[in-house]
Amino acid sequence: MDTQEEKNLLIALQTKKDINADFAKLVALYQQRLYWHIRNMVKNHEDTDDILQNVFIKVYKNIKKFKGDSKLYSWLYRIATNESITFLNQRAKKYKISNEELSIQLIQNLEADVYYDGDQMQLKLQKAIATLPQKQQQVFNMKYFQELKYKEISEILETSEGALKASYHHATKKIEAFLKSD
Amino acid sequence: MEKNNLHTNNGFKVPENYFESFTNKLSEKVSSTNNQNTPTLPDKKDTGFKVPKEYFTTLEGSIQQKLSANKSKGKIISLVHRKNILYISGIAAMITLILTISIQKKSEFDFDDIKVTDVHTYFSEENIELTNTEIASLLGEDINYTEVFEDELITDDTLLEYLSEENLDDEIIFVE
Repeated sequence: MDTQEEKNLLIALQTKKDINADFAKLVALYQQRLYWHIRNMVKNHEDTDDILQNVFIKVYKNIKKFKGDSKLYSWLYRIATNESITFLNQRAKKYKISNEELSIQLIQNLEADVYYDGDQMQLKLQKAIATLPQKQQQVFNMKYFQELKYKEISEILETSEGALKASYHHATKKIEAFLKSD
Repeated sequence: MEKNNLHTNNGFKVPENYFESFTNKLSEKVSSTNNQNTPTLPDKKDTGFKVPKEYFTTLEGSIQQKLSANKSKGKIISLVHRKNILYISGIAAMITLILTISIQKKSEFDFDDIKVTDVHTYFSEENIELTNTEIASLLGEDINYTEVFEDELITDDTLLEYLSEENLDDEIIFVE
C-alpha cells in the first residue's frame, strides 16, 4: 500500500482544480478493499453500500484538507472504520439494544440474507466473531479476512503493534473455544 | 549454472512430470498440515458474503451522481436548526413576558392614581381646548356664577398691594 502511484494520485487530488478523473481512479483503487472492510463490520450489503458511498463522498469533500500526517490508505480506512462504528452505534440506539446484542442480531439476519451463502462453519465463525468486543472484532477481521499487516492495522487503528498482536491472540483463542464448543 | 543439469546421470530416475506437479502437491500438503493445527477455522477470506453482480462497476457512477446532486443543491442552511430554535423561543418568551407585565401594570392603573397637579399641568399647557359653552355644560346649570367669588371679596388695600408688587407694563391697566 501507499505506492508511488498512490502518492501521485494524492498530489493530483490535492492540487488540481478538476479532480473527477483522479477521484474515479481513487474509487477504483480502494472500492473493494474498503467495501470488505465495512462489510466485515456491518455484515449487510445494503448498509455497506450506503456507508461506502458516504465514505467516498467525505473523501471527495475533504481530500484537499488531508495534511498527509498519516498515509492515504490509513486515512481512508480510518474514515471507513469511523463511519461503520457510527452506523452500528446509531442502529443499536434506534433499536434500544446494546452493541453486543446488535452484533448477534446482525448474524441472525445473515441466514435470511440473499447476499450471504456461507456454510454452517462460516456462519458459526461469524457467530463466534460476534461474541468478541468491538476492538477485537476489528483486529480479527482486518488480520484474518483482509490479511492486513500489523503495521498497517496499527496505522489505521492508531494502536501499537504489540497491543494489536495481543488483541488478535485473545480473539483467536476465544473463537477457537467457541468453535470447539458443541 | 543450468538448472536442468544439477542432477548428474547416476542411474536414478524420477516419475514423469514429477517436478511440474510438485508445487501443487506441496501446497496441498501444507494446507492440510495447517488444517490439522487449526482444524476449526475455515479457509481464509471466504466469508460467505456475496456482492450483487456489477456492483463494483456501477459504484463509481452512483457516487458521482450523489456528488453532483449535492453540488446542484448548493449549501442549504436550515433555519430549523436546534440552535436557532433556542434563540427564537428565547426571544418569543421575552416578548411574552414583557407584554404580560405591561398588561398587568395597565390593569392596576386607576383614574384615582392621577395626581391633581398633573391634571392642572395638562390643562394649563393647553393640551385640551374647551369652548365656554363646553365648560358651561360640564359645570351644569345649577351653579350660580355670582356666588363663585362671593366669599373671596378683595379689599382695595389688598388689590393695591398686589398691583404695586407686580411689574405691570401693560398700558391697559390703570390705577385710580
